[in-house]
Amino acid sequence: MISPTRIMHFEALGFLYGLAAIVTYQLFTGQINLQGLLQRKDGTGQTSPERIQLLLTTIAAAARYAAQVAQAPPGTLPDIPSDWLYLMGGSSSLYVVHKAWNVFKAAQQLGEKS
Amino acid sequence: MTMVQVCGFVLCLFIGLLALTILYLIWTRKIDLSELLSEANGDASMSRFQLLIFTFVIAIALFEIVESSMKFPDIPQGVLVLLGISASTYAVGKGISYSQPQVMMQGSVGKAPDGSDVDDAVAAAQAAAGQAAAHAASAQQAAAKAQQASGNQT
Repeated sequence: MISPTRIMHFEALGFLYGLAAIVTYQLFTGQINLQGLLQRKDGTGQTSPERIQLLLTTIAAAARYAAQVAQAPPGTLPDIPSDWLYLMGGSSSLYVVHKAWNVFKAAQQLGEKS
Repeated sequence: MTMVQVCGFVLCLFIGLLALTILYLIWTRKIDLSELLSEANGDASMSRFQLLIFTFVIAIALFEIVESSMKFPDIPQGVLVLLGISASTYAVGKGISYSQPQVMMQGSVGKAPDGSDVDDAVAAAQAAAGQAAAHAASAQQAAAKAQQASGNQT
């Protein structure tokens, strides 16, 4: 007879993959709002290079880590190489600094207008 | 069957039903995820998106490893640093946005604070106004006809 541990395993697996599938489906069908994801928030509506680079770095890092997990020996969670951490840190810092610059510049312009 | 096994099956049934209910409610949109990645002004947030991707990748990896070895593995320093970078980006981004709320609201991409599309709302309001005008005109005509009919009777 199947044990409760095994049933719990299938339940957890089903929930996790089910949730991931529903979120992915809703992202692709536009049910989860993605409007303005890659656009500047300073009122110009222009595409933002720092957002694009952060998106690409994020996808690359996530894919690389998923590949590392697939190749790792059983029972161990692989570590992330430090160069990838520097890359993610740099990319995120660039995004945050650029966002701060844009927001404070737009605030200054708004202040001058009013 | 021992008491422990019975309790185990009852627990499995409860957790299974709970998981199914949550997935069903998300699918039927009674648990609404449409604003999962949205900021206060209705635009999607890059840092939320990043946090979502990393959370899913690491959660699924961790689950697969626990499942294969039946023990909880040590979480490497690098994974914690990566999640820390992602969460810090999110927190700092929110701090910047909320420090200048007037810029955040002015910078939204065609969205109202409640997430509805402003252009769509304007078009819908115009269509409704047109319909209301047509209804008013037909009601006036009907009233005139009724008045005429009552005049003829007297």
